[in-house]
Amino acid sequence: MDERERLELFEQTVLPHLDAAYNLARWLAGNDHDAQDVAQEASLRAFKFFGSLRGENARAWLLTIVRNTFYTWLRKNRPREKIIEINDETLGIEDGLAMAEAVNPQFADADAVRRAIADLPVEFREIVILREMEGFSYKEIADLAEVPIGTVMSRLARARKLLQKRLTTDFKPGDQ
Amino acid sequence: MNCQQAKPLIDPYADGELESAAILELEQHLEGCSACALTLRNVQSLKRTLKSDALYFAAPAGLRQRIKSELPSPAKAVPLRQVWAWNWLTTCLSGAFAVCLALLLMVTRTRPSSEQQLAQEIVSSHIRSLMPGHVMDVVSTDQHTVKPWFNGKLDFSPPVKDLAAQEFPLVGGRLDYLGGRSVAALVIVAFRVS
Repeated sequence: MDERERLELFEQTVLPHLDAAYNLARWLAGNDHDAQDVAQEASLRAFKFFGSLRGENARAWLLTIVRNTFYTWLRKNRPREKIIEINDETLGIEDGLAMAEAVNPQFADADAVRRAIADLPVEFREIVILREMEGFSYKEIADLAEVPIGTVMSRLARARKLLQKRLTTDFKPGDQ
Repeated sequence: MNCQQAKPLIDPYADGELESAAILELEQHLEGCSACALTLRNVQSLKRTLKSDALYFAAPAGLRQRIKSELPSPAKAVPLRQVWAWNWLTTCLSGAFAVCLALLLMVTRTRPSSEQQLAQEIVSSHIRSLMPGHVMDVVSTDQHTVKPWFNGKLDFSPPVKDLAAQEFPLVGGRLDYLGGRSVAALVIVAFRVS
């Protein structure tokens, strides 16, 4: 494959997923400026390593690079942002919560939902984005985030509890 | 199934990740348990909310343009053929190199991890062959001379084909040492007389 064919193939198979790349970078970095930097660097890295993409899902492949680029960027630019292990106790999730009808988040406005997602710890946030916005399977997410499937499942379940708690607290009945 | 068993299955069920045997059991439980059914409804409604287009950030148009401008422009990509000044020697030796590589792939089963090391060895061996007097150990255009020459020098019999009809005449061969064993390198002239 010569350089011209490589470029054409890259533009046909990888660049169509730029929205997904930017969306993930935007949710991880938290603002447009940093997200553009991460997405751009990841795309150029993807071109450099284009040869390593073999028949697999190009979107998952690109998002793996976005994710790695983001964490490298994070260590360099925000070394103080700690990635904390969270368990049910630190989350303050009581079982009683499950017994209440959560306020239907569809009635919550998009800004409130955005804030709730943004407040999730980053390793929970990425799983939510990959599952709900990109529709990846548990297995695909496990490969992409390099964690066992069990970890994907527990992080997803905890992230959902956190979101429900946030949206329930923010929107008490009668607020509507 | 009780609530304790049902609880961890609710998220995978909502995600379509539960296997069919577990689905049946869970659905039976959900019919009789309003608390678990409520948990499921909450997960489902949260899922619908998170799928909303309003939450998805599309790439700004400027980003796409910037990335494209950073990629090498197709006009700059020059085909290899124009760069290399092909003369008889390089053509001939490239042919030898290609055959050497092809033979290796045929005779040695290499693990992917050692591929790079092997490639390095092939390159070194090829460069060494460019030094005066190293190209050929046996000089002959006759495959029936070249093939028997390898007898007793290798632990396999290399396929020696005469591709003269395809305008790639055989001119000889030599012994190389690659990947921890002796291999045959055939020297073929790969050029066209125009």
